[in-house]
Amino acid sequence: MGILDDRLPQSVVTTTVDSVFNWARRSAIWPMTFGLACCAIEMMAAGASRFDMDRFGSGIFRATPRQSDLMIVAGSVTEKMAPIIRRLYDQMPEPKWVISMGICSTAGGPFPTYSHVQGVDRVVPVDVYVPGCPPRPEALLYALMRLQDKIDQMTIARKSA
Amino acid sequence: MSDDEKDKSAPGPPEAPKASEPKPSEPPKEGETPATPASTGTVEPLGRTAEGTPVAAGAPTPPPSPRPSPATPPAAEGAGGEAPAPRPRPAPPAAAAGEGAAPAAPRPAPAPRAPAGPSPAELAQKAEVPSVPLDRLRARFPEIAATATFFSGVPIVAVPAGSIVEVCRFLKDDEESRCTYLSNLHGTHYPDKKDKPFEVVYHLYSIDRAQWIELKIELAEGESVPTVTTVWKTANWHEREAFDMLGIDFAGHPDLTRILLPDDWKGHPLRKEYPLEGNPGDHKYYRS
Repeated sequence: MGILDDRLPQSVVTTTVDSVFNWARRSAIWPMTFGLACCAIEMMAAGASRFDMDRFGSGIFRATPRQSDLMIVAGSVTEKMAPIIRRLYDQMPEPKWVISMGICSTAGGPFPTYSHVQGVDRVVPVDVYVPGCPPRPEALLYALMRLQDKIDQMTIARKSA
Repeated sequence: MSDDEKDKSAPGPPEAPKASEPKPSEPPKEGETPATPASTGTVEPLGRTAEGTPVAAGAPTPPPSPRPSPATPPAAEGAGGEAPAPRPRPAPPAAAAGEGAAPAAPRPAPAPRAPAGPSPAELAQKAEVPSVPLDRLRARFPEIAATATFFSGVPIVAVPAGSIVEVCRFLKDDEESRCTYLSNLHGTHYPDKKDKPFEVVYHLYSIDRAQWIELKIELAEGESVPTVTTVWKTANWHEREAFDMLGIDFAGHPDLTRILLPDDWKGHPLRKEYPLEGNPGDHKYYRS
């Protein structure tokens, strides 16, 4: 950069491609409109004016997986719902992320039964787990910030682990 | 201000000695405070007998050496030392003399209470109530209506599986009963009833009369029930649920398939022998 500084006009900023990509990606994480149980109520509260996920550029809940970057699995996942979740995940364009919201989707919660999947990570890869039953909107916003930290570590070569 | 503070601080110290003055008097209080435990301590051997007789036998001998000095103040206290004493005295005779004899008197008292029968609340729960649907059923199917019992103001009638459609059709179409609303239809499983472990229960409601009536069918394993979808269309999904969760077969149902569980599910989870966690081979998402 030091070499270039003298040769460029003052209105030009030099940076890395990764920084620009990651800044763009983390500043507009569009979630999918997708709620399974009572956690979805807290997710709606997080998106509404009091907590305002728009502050993070994530307030635009898309009604189709094809325009979504983030799937928030908000609620208990039943065995019957699991294949549908996988299908929705497969329809999302890369890069895509998953937040497991609440203990039900994280580990089955209070339902160790025949009809519940004991953790949505058996169905789709999860980036951030949020504990709680249900988690408060602040917890979801914190998960969103942790996801932004994770996106910041991405390179154009590969998705961060 | 500094002078005032000094003035304030000056009277302070004299107060402190005042506070300290009672301290010399406290030692006797301290002597007394152990005296109160000592008074209880004098009682302790009795109390310890209640807790454990072997300890009480050996314990009294070592404590006396430290206690005689505090033992004198309780004598000075007089009434204070005597007051707690009488309380434990009646207790040990009850505990030591005979635990079997003393409770023997109260034991016969609860014994007659048990066989007294159902409580008034239980009797009220099973009290007979006026019911137009049941009256109509008595007039038309006296043998079936004879099985009627009552619970929480609802008549419950046991119906043979073969005549359920006829009974339901009558209760719905009859001008007096008019049970036009099938509120609920569900299955139950009682594995202890070996011959007929399954039940199908019909909750009928007469909107005109504002009265309920319940019909029950007892079923053996594999036995089928005639469908009542021809009487109430809402029975369609109710019977599918009973089939899905309990495996009850409804003969003549237009579409008897699973309604809650995935289509490829094996087994019927609401049967009592079905494990709550499910079977490992049930589904690919089941935990390993």
